[in-house]
Amino acid sequence: MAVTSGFYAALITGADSEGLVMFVAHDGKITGVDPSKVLFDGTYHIDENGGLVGKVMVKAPPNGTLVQGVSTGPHGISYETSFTIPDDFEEREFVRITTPLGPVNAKFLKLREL
Amino acid sequence: MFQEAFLGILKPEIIAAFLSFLATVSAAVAAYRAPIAAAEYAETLRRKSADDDNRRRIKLNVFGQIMQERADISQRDCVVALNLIDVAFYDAPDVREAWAELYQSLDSARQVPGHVRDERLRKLLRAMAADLGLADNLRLDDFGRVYFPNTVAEENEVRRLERQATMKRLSAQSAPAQAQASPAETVSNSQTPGWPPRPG
Repeated sequence: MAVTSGFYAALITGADSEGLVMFVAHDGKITGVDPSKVLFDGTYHIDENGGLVGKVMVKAPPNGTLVQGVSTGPHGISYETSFTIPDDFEEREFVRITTPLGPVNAKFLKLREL
Repeated sequence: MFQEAFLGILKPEIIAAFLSFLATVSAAVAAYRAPIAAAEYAETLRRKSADDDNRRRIKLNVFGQIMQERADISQRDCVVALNLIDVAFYDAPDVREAWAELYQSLDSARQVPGHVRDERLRKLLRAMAADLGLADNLRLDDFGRVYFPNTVAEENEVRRLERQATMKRLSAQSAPAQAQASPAETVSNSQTPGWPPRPG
């Protein structure tokens, strides 16, 4: 099934811990948040294979620890990362995403079509 | 007869004697009351001075604690001192206003830049120093000059990591206990996917 606009959830496991991200992909824009108020905002396009290729800016508030095990410090931390959600993401056990702060494995769930 | 007696009382020498008696009594009362009044006044002055000394000591303690922890105001002792500002400096509106501004910048939801927080902290310290009469000897640059060696920063980081590890361990210990206490709330694994494995 090709990746289309909608509401998604991602179960993310890093080197240090797990996290849940809720995000919306629609009209080339992608934005989301997790329970620790880490914000995700960026853009995406659909490639020739039906997969979603995106790039987001991740902004984490201060005095926390990301799933990659990196401390956000007293001033918070921001970084940009690219990722791809393949068209068969629901059949895959997980998708590996390489971020500047370390790799994470993500299981994507589509919640609702837009 | 009565008139004669009354006229007898009005004789000058008797009036003079009576007035002299009144003066003597008044002097005796004054002599008795004067040291007591003086002692009471001295006690009032002493008590006021002691209260002023106490208030100043409390203010100095709060100021000193924040000053020595200004490199990292999230330390416990500094947090205690910050929360005492409104009480210790109740009569210093400039200090309380500066604290209110710093407090707003500490809210992570507002995402106030770090240099703005630092500037508000220095402003608070400057206001406290002015209230304590120390401002003439302290410049704004003095509040920005902080000695915070790597060894101290590493010690703080180790304490933070230990605290996080302890919280994680305690959270993991309480989660299985909750699951055992409410088996009726168990969700079938076939309906809920598990977490992905840790990246290699």
